[in-house]
Amino acid sequence: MTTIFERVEAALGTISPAVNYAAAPYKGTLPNAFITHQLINSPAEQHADGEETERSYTVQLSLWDKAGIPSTTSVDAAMKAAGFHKGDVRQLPQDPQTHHYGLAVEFVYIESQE
Amino acid sequence: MRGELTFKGLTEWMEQLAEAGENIDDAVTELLGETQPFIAEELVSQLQKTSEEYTGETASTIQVSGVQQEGNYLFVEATVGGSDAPQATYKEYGTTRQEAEPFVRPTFRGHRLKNKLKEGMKAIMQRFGL
Repeated sequence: MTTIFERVEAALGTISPAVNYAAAPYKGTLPNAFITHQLINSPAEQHADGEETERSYTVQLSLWDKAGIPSTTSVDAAMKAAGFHKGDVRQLPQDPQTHHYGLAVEFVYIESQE
Repeated sequence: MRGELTFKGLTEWMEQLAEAGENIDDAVTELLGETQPFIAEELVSQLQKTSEEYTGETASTIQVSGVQQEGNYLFVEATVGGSDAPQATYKEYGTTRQEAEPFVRPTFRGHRLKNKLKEGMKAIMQRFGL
């Protein structure tokens, strides 16, 4: 069964031109532009006959770019194609050391047990 | 940083109260007033679950207002952090080098606060004999 992390990385892997991405926190030297992903919560949403039938996964993608506020266009398209729904978007404080601009974007994936 | 909560069932609850001739504003004010202390408690509880050693610094910036009204809109406002305490935002959303340790989102999206509100709604209904 595909995990939510594999699902996110598969989606980000389809972006062209390729982007740097990793599970948060990003290790090693920070590229000029990169994306981190993190599972925020994953509550069970529905039960039937004592069995879980639906669970939602909220994933935060943090887009970082030294050139300015990152664009979400290609990420939105890739995540939508992978079955995610876009949620809240929030600008993050600019990193005072690296000068990366940041944007946090939430995506929700609903997994149903058929 | 502000938290917001919406959930199913509130409209139906208010409709039942209205049909019974009860004052909806009073009932909602009572519900929010009784839930208000729990919001602050839950924010602190979620903060304590984060991996960082708990110092209480961010918790000291938590503020939950009394019940407020703007037109037909009744609410309590919960705020954390602010310009003098950016660590709350860093913790909630992460930084280039730090993963997020969310505590606001679990408070307002988790089941505990919703369950608390539902308990309050049920108690008010029972008190009105509904």
